[in-house]
Amino acid sequence: MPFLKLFGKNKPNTPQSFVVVGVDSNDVVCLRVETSDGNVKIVGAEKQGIPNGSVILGNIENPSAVLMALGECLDRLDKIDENLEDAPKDMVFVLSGGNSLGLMTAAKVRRDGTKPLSVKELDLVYKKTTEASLMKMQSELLVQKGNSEIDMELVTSSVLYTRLDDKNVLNPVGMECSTLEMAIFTSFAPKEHLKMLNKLAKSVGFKLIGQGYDVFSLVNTMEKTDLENINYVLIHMGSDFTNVGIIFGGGLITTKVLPVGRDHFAKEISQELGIAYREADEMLSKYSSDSLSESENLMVRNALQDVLKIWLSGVELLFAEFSGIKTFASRIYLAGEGFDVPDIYEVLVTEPWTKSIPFREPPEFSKLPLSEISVISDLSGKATSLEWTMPATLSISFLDR
Amino acid sequence: MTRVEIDLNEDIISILNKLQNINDTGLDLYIPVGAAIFDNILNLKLLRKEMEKTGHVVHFITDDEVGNTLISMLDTDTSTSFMPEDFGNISMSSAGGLLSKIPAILGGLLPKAKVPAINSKALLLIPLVLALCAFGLYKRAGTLRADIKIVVASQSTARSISMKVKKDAESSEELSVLGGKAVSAVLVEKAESTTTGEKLVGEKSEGKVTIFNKTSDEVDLDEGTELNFDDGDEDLVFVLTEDITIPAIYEKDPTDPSSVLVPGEVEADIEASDIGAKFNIDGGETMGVEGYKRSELVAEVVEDLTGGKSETRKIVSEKDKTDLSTSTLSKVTAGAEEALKKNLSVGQKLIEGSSLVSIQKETYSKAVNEEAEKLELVMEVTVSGLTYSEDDLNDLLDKLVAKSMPEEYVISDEGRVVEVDVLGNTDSSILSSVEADLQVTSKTYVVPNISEDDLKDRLKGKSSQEAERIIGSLKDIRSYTVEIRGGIPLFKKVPKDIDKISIEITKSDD
Repeated sequence: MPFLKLFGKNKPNTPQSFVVVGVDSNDVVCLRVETSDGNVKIVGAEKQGIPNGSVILGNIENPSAVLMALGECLDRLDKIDENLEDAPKDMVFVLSGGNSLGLMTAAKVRRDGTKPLSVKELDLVYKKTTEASLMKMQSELLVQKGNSEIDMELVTSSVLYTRLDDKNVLNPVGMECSTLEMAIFTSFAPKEHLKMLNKLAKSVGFKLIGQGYDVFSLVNTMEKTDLENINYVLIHMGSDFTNVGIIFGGGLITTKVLPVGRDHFAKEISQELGIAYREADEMLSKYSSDSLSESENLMVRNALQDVLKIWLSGVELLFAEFSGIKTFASRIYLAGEGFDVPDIYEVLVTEPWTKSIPFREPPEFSKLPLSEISVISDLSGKATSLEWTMPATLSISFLDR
Repeated sequence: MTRVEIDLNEDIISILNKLQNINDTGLDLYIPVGAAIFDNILNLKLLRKEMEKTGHVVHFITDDEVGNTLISMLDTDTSTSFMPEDFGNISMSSAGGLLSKIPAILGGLLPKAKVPAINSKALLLIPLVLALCAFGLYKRAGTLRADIKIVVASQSTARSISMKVKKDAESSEELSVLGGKAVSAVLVEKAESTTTGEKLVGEKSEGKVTIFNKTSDEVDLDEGTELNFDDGDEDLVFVLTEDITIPAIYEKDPTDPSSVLVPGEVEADIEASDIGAKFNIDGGETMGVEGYKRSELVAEVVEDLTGGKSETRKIVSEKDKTDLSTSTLSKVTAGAEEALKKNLSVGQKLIEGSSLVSIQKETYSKAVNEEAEKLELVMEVTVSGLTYSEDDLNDLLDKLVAKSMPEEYVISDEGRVVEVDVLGNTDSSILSSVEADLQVTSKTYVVPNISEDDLKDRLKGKSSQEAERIIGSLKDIRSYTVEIRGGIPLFKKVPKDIDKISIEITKSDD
C-alpha cells in the first residue's frame, strides 16, 4: 500500500550506521553517519578529488575515476577511529539538481460526498497523481532539456498535502468529502545514473539502500529545526550547477537548475592566471578561507568578476522561469560549496537583482551550515563548510522513511 | 554577420568570453551536435540575454535535433502550472500541460514534400528507364565510400615516476623496473708526456795520500777504510782502495836519547765514496782515518785528487707512468659515452654517467728509471654502458599511467614528451653500468578510447545524419566530418562493407 507507506506506516528498518555519498564534478564526498533517537551523528567526513570532466551535471562520465575516489574516501573513513562499531555496509547516494528533477503535482477528484474515503480510493488517487507527475516530469524535461524521452526513474514520492472540500487534512482515511485534492512531490533521476550508482556501491562492497534528492532531503530536515521552515526559497550552489527550490507550506513545490556553479569560477581563475584547473580550484578554496596573500587575493578577486555577473544574471533568469509562482517567500537559504566563496555570497546579497523578481518582501539571505541544523551533530569536525549541508541532510531523510 | 563555431564541451562562460570579444553585432553561432550547451535551455537563454546586453544579436544554428527543439522554445511560454490537474471522477487517462504542445512545436520543424504528376505516356518507358537506372545505380553503388575524420578532446597528463633500469631484466610496472641492455666499445688511445725523473751520473775523484802513524804500534788498514775530509760545509768521505800497513812511530836516531820521533808512514791509493767535483781536493789537505784520532793516524793528500765529476740526466719515474696512465684514462673516459653512442641502435638510449671504462692493456715506450726526455703510452680500454629502449620506456610509462587512468581513455601517440633525469650515485640512488635510478617525467595526452572497428560496425549502413548522431554522442568529441562519396545520390549511406569506411582519429591541439 504505497499511500499507507507515505503516511509513515510499514516503515522499513533504517540501519544504525550507513554511509552517505555525494558525487559532484569536483569531488566524491562520504559521510559516515550513526542514527539514534531521531538524531544523526556524523562520525566521519571525507572527500576525494576527481579529474575534471569525470562528472558533468551529476552524470558520471568516468566511472573508474569516481570509483577510485570513492574507494579512497571509504578507506579513510575506515581509519577514523578504531573504537567505532563495525564499519557500515549500507550506502545512500545523494542525487543533485544537476541531473535530477523535482516537482509537485496536484490533482483534484470529485466524488460522492457521502462515502467515507477508503485507503483503496486514496491509493488510486495517489497512483493517478503519480502517473500525472510522470507526464509533468516529461514536460519539464522537454522545457529544460529539449528532450522528453530521457529514461527517468521515480526516486522520491511524498504527499505534500491532502485537502478535503478545501480543508487540509493530515490523515483523510475514513473521512467524507465531495472534492479531494492531493499534492505530491516527486523527484526523478536518469535510470542509467541510478544503475551506475548501484554498480559503484557493489564495487566497493556496499549495499545501496537508497538514493535521495538533496533539495527534498534538506526541506525535510528543515522541518526539524527552529528555522523559518514554512515558506522559503533554497538556493543550492553546487560544483557545476545552481539549483533553486521553492518551498511553500513546508513542502517543496518545484526546482529549477542553472548549469553554472563553483567550478566555472575556478575555471575562470585557471584561464585568467594561466594555471592548471586543480591549482585554480585550490586557490579558490584558499581565497574562500582567506588564506591567500594580498596580491593573490586581488588576482583571484579580479578573475571572478566577469563570471559573477554572468552567474547573477543567470540566477535572475532562473527565478523568471518560475512563471507559475506569483510571489516568492522572502526568506532565502543558501547551501552548497559555491556560497563558501565570499564574493558569490556578497554579490547575491547586495546586488539589486531581486528588484525584478516578485518577492513578497525584500529578501533576507541566510547561509545554512550544518551547525544550524540541531538534529545533526558533526562529531568529525570536518563537515563545517556549506558543501556538507546537503549530503548530511540526506541521512535525516533516511531516518524518516 | 560573423560566423562563430563552438566546441562540443564548451560551457556557457567560455562561450560568452569568446563571443563578447567580437566586434560584429550579428553573430551566427554554429553549435555541434551533442554540444554541452544543449544540456539546459537556460544556457541558450542566458547566452542570448548576456549578448543582448552588449548589443549583439545571436542566431543559433545547429543540426542537433534536441538543440533545435530548445531553440524553437526560446520564445515559447514554458511556465509551469501549479493548479491541480482535474481528474474528474478518477478515470483520468492523460494529463495536460506542456507535453500536449509537443506535436505543435515539432510539427513546424518537419519539411513538407510535393509530388509532381506523371504523364501517362511516359509509363511505357518506365521499365526501360528503370533497367538503365538499375544498372547505373548498381555500378555507382560500388563506388560508395565513407571518410570520417574525428577530432577528439585531449587532456594532458604529466607524471613524474621513479624507476630503475636493470641490465638484462624484464620490464615490470609493478616494480617500476625498466629492462636495460649493455652496450660496449673497445678504444685505443695514444698519449705522451715529458719525463720528470732525474738521475745524477759522473766519476769519482781519486789519488794518493800519505798516512802517518803516530802511535808506537804498527797499524793495518783494510781496503775500504774510510778517510774523512772536512771542507767546512760537509764531511767528504774517501776510501782506501788497497790494504796497507803503516809502521809505528820510531826514533830518528835510536842512539841519541834526544832524537826526534818520526811517525811511520805509507802511501796509499784512495777514491771518493761518491761522484762529484767536490771530491777533487787539493794536494796537502789532511784527512782523518776512521777509528783513529788525528793524533794517532792522519792522511795527507799527496797531489791534487782529480777525476771527480757529476751531471743530472732525465729518466722515467714511477710517477711519470702513473700520471700518464691517469690522464690518458681520463681522456678516454671523457670520450667514452660518445664512443658508446656510436654503437647504439635506433631508439636505444644510453644512460649518461653509466659508462664504465676498464683498462685492458698499457704499453709504455720506456721503463722506470730509463733515461728519456719523453714517455709514450698506448692504452687499450673496454667501455661499457647501460642503455634502455625508448619504446620499452614508453610502454612502461603507458602501463604506469594507465593504472590511474579511466578505462574509457587511452594514451595518445601524439604529443608525447618524456624527460629522463638520471639520479646519479648517491646514498639513495644507484648509477652504474648494470643498474641506474631514473626520474622520468612524462607528459602525455589522454584521449577517449574509441575503437575504430567498433565504430565502423555501428556506423555501417547508417545515413549521414544517423552517423553524425552516433559520432556526436561519443565522449569528448571536439569536431568531426562525415563525407560519403560515390554511391547513389539521395541514397547515400555509410557503406555496409567496413573496408570502405575510413576513420581518422586525431587529438585536438588545444
